[in-house]
Amino acid sequence: MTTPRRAGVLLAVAAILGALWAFPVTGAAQIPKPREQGGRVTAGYPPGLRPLRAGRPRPPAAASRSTALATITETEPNDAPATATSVALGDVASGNIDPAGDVDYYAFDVTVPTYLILDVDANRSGSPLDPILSLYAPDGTTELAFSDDYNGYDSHIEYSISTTGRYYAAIAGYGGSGGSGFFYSLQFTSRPTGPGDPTTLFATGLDGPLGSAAGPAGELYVTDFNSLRLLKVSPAGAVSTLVAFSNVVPIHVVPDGFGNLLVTIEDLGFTYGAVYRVTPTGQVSTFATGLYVAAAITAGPDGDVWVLDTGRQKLYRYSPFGVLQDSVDVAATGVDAVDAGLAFSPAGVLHMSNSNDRVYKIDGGAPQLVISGALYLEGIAFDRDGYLYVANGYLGTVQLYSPTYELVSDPFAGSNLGGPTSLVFGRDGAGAMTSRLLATNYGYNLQPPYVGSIVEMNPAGMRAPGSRIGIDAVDVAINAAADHLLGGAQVAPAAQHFLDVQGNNNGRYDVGDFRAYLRSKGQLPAAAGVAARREGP
Amino acid sequence: MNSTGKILASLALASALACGNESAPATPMPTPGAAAASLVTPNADDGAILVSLTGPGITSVQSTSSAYFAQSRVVSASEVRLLVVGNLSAGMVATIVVPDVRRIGEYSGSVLEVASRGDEVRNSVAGYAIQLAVSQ
Repeated sequence: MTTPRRAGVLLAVAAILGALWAFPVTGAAQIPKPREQGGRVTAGYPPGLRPLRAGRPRPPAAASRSTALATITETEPNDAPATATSVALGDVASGNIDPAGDVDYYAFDVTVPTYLILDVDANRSGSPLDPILSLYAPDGTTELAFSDDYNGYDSHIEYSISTTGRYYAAIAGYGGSGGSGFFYSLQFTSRPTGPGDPTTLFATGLDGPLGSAAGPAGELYVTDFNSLRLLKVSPAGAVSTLVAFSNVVPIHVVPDGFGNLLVTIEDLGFTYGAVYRVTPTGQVSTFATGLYVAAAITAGPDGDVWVLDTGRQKLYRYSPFGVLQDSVDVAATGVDAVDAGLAFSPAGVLHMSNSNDRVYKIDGGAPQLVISGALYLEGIAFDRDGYLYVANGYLGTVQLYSPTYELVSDPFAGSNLGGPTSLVFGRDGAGAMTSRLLATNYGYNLQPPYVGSIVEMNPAGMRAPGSRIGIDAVDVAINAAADHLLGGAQVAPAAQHFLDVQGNNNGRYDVGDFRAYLRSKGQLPAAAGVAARREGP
Repeated sequence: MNSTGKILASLALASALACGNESAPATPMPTPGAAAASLVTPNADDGAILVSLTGPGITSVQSTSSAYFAQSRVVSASEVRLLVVGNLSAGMVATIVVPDVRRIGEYSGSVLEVASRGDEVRNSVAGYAIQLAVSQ
């Protein structure tokens, strides 16, 4: 039953989701959509406050990926699957949406495995048409994918076909628009499936998975944006609730070094953000406060915790104990959505997707562009060799890049994926990193059971285990840490290592590390607290 | 010995002790007190130092500034180590309490390790020193 409180939550979440993604409604070919900021809705912020998501930048037109076999002109009437104009992969169909309300259907045969690409060229060639495009299953009624504005106002669908059959594409004008001169061309192409295809279902039945983290015993933790829960997923894929929040939205999650989880949260109005610490038994405490829009979160090789505030467009660095260390301004990246991703390379360099079309590395206290791609780059994950997996939730793909950011596989995977999508490498029962790469599917352009699911990339296509996130931290008493240096009782080697990486990371525990540790615990004398760290911005 | 004899003997002993005291050199009483430990540094961005202080019977070490974190440990009967963290500068960093300030010359200090305010440990402590002086 939907209680008033629940309804309020749902309304808030719906508003947030509108800002998050502007999801098209399934079967929405004729349903008017919000038309603000290029089709993306801003959150309900009071005037003067920064919107959760501004309009996404419009990318340049995508380069044609294949040479057309033939140019087909639509044959009216083709307003239904039964009267669809037949085409073949490789063809380019041209037609007009005329009169207003016209819908043109095309039918084409596909054998598996096929990674299908449908690309409309209309508005960017001068047509007044603002097209919307749908892909239908062989039954002619099940909508598999939908696209509105991708290349400017033009539509674009990429979809991994998993069943051989006759499929249908339908093109129409946004809001039923059309008329004389509303011309378009629609290209039907394909390319090979990726080494990570086919993906397989790992867990299902989640409401709105957004962030994910691998636990030390092979389990996963997932933030469920819609149900306001932090979920635990067993190694066998069984989903249970670790924490049910009542008045905050969990956004992303990362393990800390002490065996707990750190969860970025927002109030239901997205006006206040924080980071919560959650124990393995679900006890919640506060790790950090004062954020605006607390989004992506990760942990570095020194144990420090990095949080992306998309409201302020800043990356905040906290010690493992929750003491703010410094920040990096990332406004130049244009990051503006909570589906942006954060990940450290094995070399210890922080990377960030901007949730739009770029990936940056944070070097020298500033973002530096390393990857430009298609819109909606979201979750990112490194393997231990520095290869980078990047999820595109809109296209439902994962791309693989080399350590020098060269595109290795596009797509690496493209089946059963729909954003917002986070990526996470799994761990085994002993906590070791594995080569299992999992993706959470919020569910754009997906059908059940993949809506609200977690899928695993084809293990045969994986090249290496994932890069470890964070380190094992040790909470050493300050007087014990000092006494070690003074010649007293020696702290354990693991603690010495932690103290060293928290400090100057020179391979031994020294007075510089102790100074850093005082800062990390918030105990550095105030007059000395402003000293910039070596790696600070 | 009768009581008169006892009295005479006591007087004789007292007289002898009195005469002996006049002829022996006077033994000075120890003068407990504090000495200042001052840092000599070639750098202006020191953030932490580890110091060794040697001398007989150092009983206490105290930081001279609330802007410094300081912790010490008695290593042996003649050595105390001191760790001081803060935005350090040349000059007094600690006060040590000694049993006899007149023997200050028997005390010495040295810098074992230094880190910058950026947490980097310095490769050398050349140019660093600890000077001890009786506090006024």
